[in-house]
Amino acid sequence: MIFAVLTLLGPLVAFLINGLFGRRYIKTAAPAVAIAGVGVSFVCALILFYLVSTQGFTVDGTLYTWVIAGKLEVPFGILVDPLSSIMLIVVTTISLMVHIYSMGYMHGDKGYWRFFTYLSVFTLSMLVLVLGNNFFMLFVGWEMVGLSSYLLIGFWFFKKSAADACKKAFVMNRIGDFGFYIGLLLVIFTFRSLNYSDAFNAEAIHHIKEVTYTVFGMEFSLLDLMTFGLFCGAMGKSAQFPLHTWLPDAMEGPTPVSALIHAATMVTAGVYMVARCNALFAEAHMTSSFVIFAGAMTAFLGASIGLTQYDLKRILAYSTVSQLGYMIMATGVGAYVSAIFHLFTHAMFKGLLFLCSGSVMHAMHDNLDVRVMGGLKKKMPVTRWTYLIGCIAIAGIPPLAGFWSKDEILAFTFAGGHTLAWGVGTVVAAMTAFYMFRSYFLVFEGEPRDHHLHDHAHESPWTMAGPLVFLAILSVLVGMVFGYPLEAGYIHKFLGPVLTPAHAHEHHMSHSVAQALMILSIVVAVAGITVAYLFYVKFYPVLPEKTVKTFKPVHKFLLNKWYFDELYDFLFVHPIVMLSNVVLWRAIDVNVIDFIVNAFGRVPMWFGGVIRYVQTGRIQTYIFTMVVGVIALVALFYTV
Amino acid sequence: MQHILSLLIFFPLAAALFILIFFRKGKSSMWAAFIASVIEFIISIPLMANFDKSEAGMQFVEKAWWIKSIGVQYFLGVDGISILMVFLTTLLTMIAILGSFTYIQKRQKEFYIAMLVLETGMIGTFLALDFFLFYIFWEAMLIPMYLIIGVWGGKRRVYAAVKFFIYTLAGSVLMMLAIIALYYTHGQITGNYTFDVLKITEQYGMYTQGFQMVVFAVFFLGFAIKVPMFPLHTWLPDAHVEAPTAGSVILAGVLLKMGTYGMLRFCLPMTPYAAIKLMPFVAALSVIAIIYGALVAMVQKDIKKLVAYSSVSHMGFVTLGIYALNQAGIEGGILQMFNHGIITGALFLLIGLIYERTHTREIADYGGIAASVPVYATIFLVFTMASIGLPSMGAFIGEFLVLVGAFAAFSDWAILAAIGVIFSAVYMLWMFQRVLYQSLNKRWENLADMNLREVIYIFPLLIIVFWVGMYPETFQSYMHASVIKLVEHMNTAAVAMQ
Repeated sequence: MIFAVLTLLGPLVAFLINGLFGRRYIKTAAPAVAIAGVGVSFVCALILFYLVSTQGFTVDGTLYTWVIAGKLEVPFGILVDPLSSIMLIVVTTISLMVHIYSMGYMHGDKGYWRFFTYLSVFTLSMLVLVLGNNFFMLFVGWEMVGLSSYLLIGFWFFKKSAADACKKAFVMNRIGDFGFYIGLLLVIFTFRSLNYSDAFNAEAIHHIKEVTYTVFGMEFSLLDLMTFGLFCGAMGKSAQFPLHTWLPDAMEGPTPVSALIHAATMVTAGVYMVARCNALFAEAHMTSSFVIFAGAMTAFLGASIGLTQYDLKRILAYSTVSQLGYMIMATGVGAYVSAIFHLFTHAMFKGLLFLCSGSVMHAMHDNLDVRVMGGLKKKMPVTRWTYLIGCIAIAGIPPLAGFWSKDEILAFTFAGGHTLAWGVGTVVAAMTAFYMFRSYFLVFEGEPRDHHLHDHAHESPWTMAGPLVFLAILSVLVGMVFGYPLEAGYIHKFLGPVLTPAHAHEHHMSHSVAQALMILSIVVAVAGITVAYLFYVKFYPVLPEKTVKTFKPVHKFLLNKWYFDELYDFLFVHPIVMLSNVVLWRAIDVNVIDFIVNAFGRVPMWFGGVIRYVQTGRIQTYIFTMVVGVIALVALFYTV
Repeated sequence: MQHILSLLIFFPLAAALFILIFFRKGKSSMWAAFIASVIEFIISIPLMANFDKSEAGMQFVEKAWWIKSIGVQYFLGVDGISILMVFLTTLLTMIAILGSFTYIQKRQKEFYIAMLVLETGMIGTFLALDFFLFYIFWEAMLIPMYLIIGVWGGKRRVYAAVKFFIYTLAGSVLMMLAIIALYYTHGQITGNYTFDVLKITEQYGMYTQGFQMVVFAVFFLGFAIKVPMFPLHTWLPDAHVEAPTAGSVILAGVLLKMGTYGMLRFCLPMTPYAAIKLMPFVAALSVIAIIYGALVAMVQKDIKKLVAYSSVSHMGFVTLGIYALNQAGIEGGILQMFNHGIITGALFLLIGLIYERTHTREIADYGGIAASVPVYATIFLVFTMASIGLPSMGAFIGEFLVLVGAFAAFSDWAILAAIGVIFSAVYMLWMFQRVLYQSLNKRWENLADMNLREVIYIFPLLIIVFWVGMYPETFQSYMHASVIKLVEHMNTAAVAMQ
């Protein structure tokens, strides 16, 4: 318990110190404070991981009662188990590396201290998300990482694109969170509690399996509805189709942020959540089918757009979208361990790739267009080698990390009988290998395309190169260490107890099928790399140009990201703004309601205006009226 | 301790008289008023400290005959529903006065006198347990507010002040009708003609269903104007835009709560039959307010107007929670009343202090000022996020409780209400972006950041926002007993209905 609390306290204290005194007093010493904070968390995470893995140590405790809602009591509670301990490792490792890297990367920025303050907020929020023992804590962390993401994407707030991007990220996430909120309310309705221990109770779930719930007059299975709500949150946070559009825009933030938040940790929160709720999702068959669809769709969507982008960070961003699709797909088919495994390996190599791109950006004076790069391998050897390792890892070439986890996902998908999803996954694997090596060849191989930029390029300082090397080593090793032998590696022993739902269906594949699949995924990856080599080294630039010309409409469609932004603007943004502005405000508020209100004022005024003529103060009028009145009365009196 | 409530009510009035007679200069009366409001706040602390949280009924009761012939009493008391509102009033008045030091330049003495008289009216309204007394305070509150808007307001202040006055007067007249009807009916049933709120409540079982419906409708209409609920909300944007900062703070922070307080104190317990019958209807109106307010807020061009419409949206959550008629919902509603007072009060103060420097509230005139006023930007960000309902800050807990309560009572409406969380993010962040982010408008390059006085008056609000967010039990513990009692009361009535 003490270590878990310390894990939270480290970044919290760092945040408070930097937040309160950073601007005036600490200034350039801010990273020291922040690194000390995250360092405490990192050490605690290692200790916890050690305790959990060797002694089966777990914590499920309450610090204090946070909210009392009638009979429902929500604790500020902490849960340490294999799943949260492995997430702690991921979060604190990457966070620590990014902190160190940022010392060099953000050096000289006006908001140096502010950046590290935000990083501490983020680390804290992510740890709350991971360590909570109930849905409320999860949601709190969920929203808090959204805030940190907002702050960090908008770190250079004076750029309109950054300001737009951070708002978009927050709002898109909020759309997902709306679903999450409903899911949360349904959890309360069903289990009268928000604690994981009450909700993931096999007996309780068994009781509600057949229960239905009526929403707006329509009947749904309660479990499906609940998990679908929760999954909406995951779609927002993990950038799943159709809420994926915010993630590529989030690249407006500083690159270390992209590595930490938008590649390694925050965006995987959705995967973590689904894995955490595996007991619920495993019994919700409708939702699971949808999860597979969303995951496969996202994987394909991201990869297809990634093929055509020219901005190095966007390529990586779409690659992240695509890889998140893999993880979500894995949770859909019930391969929760493989999903978390891929989350783990992906955090290492994608974090690495992003940090490399930051290093390239640094050398290229913040230029990110791959078309002006080229031939950087001699100028930046460390970045080049580490980037190459990252590419090999993500492409799925053994024995690097990506191979193990990706192959497991594909194997389980196949074994589960989801052949279509498996097919898509395999195609995406080829595409991934292609576009990743495309970026590598364009940036590091070949001839420099902009000599001015090239001449000024230089390797980054050790604060940046160090984390690259460290993560590269991890990218090589973690797959083998945790994943060997396939489908039965250490990771399965470690996570199996928490991530295998009570009624999981075991799929057994014959040895030969498993081997065939493995060979196929290697072949596919090699093919992707070969094609990339032909396109971007051997026959560059003739072949790419020719291909673009031949498939012009397709290329344009992909280059414009399937026109999602335009579609959403057309379908939602413009109509809602119009409705609010023209109908609700100007028509109803101003012209209907206020018209009536003002009429209440005008009628008496008009009436008073008429009555006024009676009292003119002129004797002649009075006498005249009186005479007329008398005559009228007399006439009336006598005629009747 | 015995007369602490009377002291709370009449101390500001006495201070106002004192200033009126003995002070001549604006500046010295300003300080005198501030000191008076600080003392008033300090008086409210022992009230909070000595409040017995386990007691559901009225505490610190003061009771004496006033006009015995018609059954009017001087009857004061405080319970778990009103105590937070009293605290909120003394806190916000103090802060609003401190926030007006440089904003109010003309007729300073009169302004501060009006503020203190207003405080007497507000606290009296929350504490009065006799309808006659209640009505007097309710009306007494109206006049200084009318003056604050009409004298110290912006360009269209007269229109706004009159609109405010007419609207709320219509509300009070309706309320008076309901009070008279209750007075006579209760008198006829029991033979005891009294304005005693508690006695009239006790006899709720004797009122016929039709009578309850009528009284509820009239009361509801009167209070709904104050809240304000759709479609009776159009006075609010005008009043807010034209009112000086302190006026907006008090208006949003306290006056709007009068409506929901009235519902809790009168509508629910006195006419439970009607309240239970009309629950879905009010829920629907609340949801309309939540979404409508948010959508209209989104397209506003004036920052103050945007926050005003956001109040309509947030107060929709309050009414939604209250009419869920269960513990979570009602406690959430009350907590949300408190939170909204703190957060919206702070937002108006922040808008006011930047207005003092720039003399514009048009969103389009700003842009990028986070670069020139970093402290301001940080604090503005905190309250923006608080208003959006971000966890660890107050409004999140309030909304959560409301939604938990509402979901148990009417899940479909709760789901629709939850859409509000999306739109609140949209309008607040869009405004935030256009005012503080993006490229710096050259006009504001040398904008002065917040000074010490400004930081001092925002600081308590900042603390409270996080306090409620991290440990709401401090505030909720005051209401548990009273709310449970109210819920039981409603349940008994519901059982009796069948």
